[in-house]
Amino acid sequence: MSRLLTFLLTQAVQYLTLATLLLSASVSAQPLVLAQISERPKKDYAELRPMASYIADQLSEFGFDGAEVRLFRTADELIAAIRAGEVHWVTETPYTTARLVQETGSRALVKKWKNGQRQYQTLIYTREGSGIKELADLVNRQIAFEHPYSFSSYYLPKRILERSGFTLSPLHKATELPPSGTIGYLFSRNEKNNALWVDKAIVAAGALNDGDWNNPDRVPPTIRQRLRIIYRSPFYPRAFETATPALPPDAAQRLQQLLLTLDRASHSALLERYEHTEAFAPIEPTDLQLLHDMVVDTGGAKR
Amino acid sequence: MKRKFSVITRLSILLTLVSAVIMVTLIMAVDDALKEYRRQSAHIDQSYLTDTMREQLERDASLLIKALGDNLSDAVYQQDLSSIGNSLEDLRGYREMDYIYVHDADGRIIHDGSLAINHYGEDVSSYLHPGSTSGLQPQLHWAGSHLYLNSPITAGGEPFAAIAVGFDFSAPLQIAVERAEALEANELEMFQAVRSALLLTFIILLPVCLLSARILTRRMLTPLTTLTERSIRYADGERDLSFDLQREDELGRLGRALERMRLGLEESHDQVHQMAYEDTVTSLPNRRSFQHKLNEIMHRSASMDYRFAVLFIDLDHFKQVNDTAGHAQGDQLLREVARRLGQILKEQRSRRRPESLLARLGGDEFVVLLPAIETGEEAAEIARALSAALNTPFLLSGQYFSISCSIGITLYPDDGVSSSEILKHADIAMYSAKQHGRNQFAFFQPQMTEEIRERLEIQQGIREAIKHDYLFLDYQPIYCMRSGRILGAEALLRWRHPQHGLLSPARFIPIIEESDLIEEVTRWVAQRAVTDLQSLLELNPAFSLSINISGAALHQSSICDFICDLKQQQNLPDDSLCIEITETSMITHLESSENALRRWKSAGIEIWIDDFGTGYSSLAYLNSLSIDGLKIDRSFVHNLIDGHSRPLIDAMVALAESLSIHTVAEGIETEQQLALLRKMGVHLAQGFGLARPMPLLDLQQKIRLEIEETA
Repeated sequence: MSRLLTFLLTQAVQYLTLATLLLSASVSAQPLVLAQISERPKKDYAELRPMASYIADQLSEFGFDGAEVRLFRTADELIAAIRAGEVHWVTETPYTTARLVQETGSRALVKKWKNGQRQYQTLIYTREGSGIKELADLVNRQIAFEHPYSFSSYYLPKRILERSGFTLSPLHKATELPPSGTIGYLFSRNEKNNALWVDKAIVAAGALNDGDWNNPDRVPPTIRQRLRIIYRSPFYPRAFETATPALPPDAAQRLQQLLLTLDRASHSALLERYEHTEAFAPIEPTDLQLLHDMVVDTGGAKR
Repeated sequence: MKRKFSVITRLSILLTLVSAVIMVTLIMAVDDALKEYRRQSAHIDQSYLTDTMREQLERDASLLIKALGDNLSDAVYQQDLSSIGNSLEDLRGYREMDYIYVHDADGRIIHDGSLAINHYGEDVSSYLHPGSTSGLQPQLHWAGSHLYLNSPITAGGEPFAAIAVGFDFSAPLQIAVERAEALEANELEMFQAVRSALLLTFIILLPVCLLSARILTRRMLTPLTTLTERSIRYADGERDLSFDLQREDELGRLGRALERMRLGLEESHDQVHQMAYEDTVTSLPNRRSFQHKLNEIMHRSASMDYRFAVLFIDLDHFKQVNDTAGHAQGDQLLREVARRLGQILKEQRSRRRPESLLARLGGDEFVVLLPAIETGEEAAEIARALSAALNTPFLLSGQYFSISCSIGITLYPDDGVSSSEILKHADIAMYSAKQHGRNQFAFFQPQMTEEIRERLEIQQGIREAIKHDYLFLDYQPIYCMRSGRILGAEALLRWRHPQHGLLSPARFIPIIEESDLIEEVTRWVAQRAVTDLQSLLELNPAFSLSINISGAALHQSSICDFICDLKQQQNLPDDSLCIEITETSMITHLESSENALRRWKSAGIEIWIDDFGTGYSSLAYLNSLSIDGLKIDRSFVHNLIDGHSRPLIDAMVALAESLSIHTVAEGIETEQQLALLRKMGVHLAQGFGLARPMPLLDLQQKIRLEIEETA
């Protein structure tokens, strides 16, 4: 009798709990979560927050009662959060976007002209007078990439070098020599260091996108004039706005529509705040191809 | 001119000065302390601030660089130049720096803080401040306001790089200096303020001091002021006050002392007043008191139509009472007189008028002030009553004394407007009454003044006359009827007054006789006559000289003695000096004159009766006193021819013959008179018809001629 009662009670509690959960999910609103990988959370939060709030307001019909910006230190943490259904929307570079698309089933919605750049290219450069004239001269030398998550200053140049037939070996220190016949690479942690290392002959070459190259804060003109570009890659989209599986498809579609309607004429301040975005552009088939084809190297993520 | 300040002013100024000196001394001490403090603190402040600042900067800089080193450790290790650059850039914004280098163990520059790190890889030592090391050892040294540091950067406790930095601390140190200066300036300002405040306080306090010192002094000296004011009131005659302040301090004691003094003074004042204003014999007011009251009344009545009378009362013959019964009896008589007069006045007052005033002026003089007198008759009535009161004989020690009084009356304001005038005129009137036979009263008449003046002039002038030889003697020869020769002369007193010329003996001799001057004049006459007699005796050893002795002088034994001594001293022969006295004077002073006459007789001096036949003579005395001769009065001689005096002269000659004494006929003016008198048996002759009175020299000349004629 008591056993039966206990069972019944247990069952009742379980059902009750489930009902409560369901009820609360359908009735109570949730915030729209926009995410990004960030090494400078303070700056990035400030940049993302206004756009997140704006979009959340527009998507209230889908049960969003506010916006939340979440910043992750690594791509792996971001991916874990997406998998946990905690993130609805991500704004990232092609490299990270490719990983999300490939690993989480997320869908790229629009291209973002981040920092006013519709597209960008990777530049491989060396110090003038270093005697290095082409990529082949880099063998047995070191090249500095910026960061393992960087599309333009890691993924792309590394793929370019590898496609050109060179073998690249990771190094921990600039004083470390690459295995013979390979090109040693290490991370300069930021764009400025990248240029300084090349200028101070700590490494033989560096890789930066054209936007950073032309930014005097990252590459001071005095240094830039002492450097020489030895390779220029094709142009790639600057960034993507991606919807995660947590965002319902109709909401994702609505988000896509919303973003595409934003232009400088009507939402200048909002766009400027949103990482100096010039405009949003529709995804083209070549873009989708890129995201699918991009071989994602997850090794660097563990650094 | 030396100004005199009050004690209050002087004391308050003194107190203020003392306070001022104390205050000034305090101010000077405070000022001195402030100066000393400022001198030291200025020195300490600057170095202290600078040193503290340096220490602080040093510690701050060391910590900063140490922290930077710790912070840059990873970046340096990873050659994160941008990170290093950012940190250095941040630091530059925080501190003024000469330079900052991050260098490795070999002294090679890893970062120089510039954007492009232009000195990368160069030897850091060439960029460091001389004296700074480029190794990994920590170092810190100052060069002026610059601080140079070398701080190692460690990894796992091992230094592998270092930060060399030169801080420029001129600005903060300058600020420290400025702060110190500002502090000093503040202090100076504060000191000035303190000094000003002190000075202001002093300036404010000084008058406050002066004022409060004055108030305090005044309050403390108030009893003194009270005493002073009471003393002044007391000196001004206010009597109804006390000096006792009813307090226990020094001033209270002074007050009590003054009060004791006042009481003593009051007592002696009362005594003095009594002595000064009261007659000791009769206890009546004295002369001073009377004059005082008289003055008062005159002062009061000056503006009013107010009349009063003053009665000047002089007792007649009081001197005799004094002389015969003694002074004690005399005083008793005076007291009785005062009582009787007072009684009469009391009766008068009760009937008609306000209280009259009786006073004793001295001796036998009384005076009465009769207020509210309308007519002279009223005064006369009272004078009569007073006079009558004294007529009843006085019984003193079983003996009766009869006295009378002479009263002089003055009426105010008719007879004088001043008290002294009123009193003097009353005296004159009294004198006049006395002159007119005593026991009567007289109202003052203006001519009385002249009489009295003349009298006084003579009385006062006689002394001068004796002193300056204004007196001289003329001699009238006395002739022998038979031989016609000069047997002697009568000395006659003459006075040649310097202003009035030769005065008539009839004028001045009675006045002298009335006064006490008679003795002096008699002496002078006797002295001169005796001197002259000696020269005459040289011419005629039988010469005799007569001098007149007044009745007033006759009873004075001193004159009697003087003349006897004179005769003795000059070795005058007996009977050469003759004394002439009148019948009346001899009879009036019978007792005393008898004594004198007997002495003169025994001394060999002749006695003649002058003006015989005009007065009263005691024939018994003529006999018993051995009178040497009679001088038949000139009135008989004058009436000899045409009148009826011949039988009288005959009788006188018969009397003389019966007494065996000589006769002299005076006032012979004609030969006829001389012949008849000679025939009637008169021995000696004197008169203008024979010879007028003449100076000694003329007499001597006359005698010499006579001698020559006989020779």
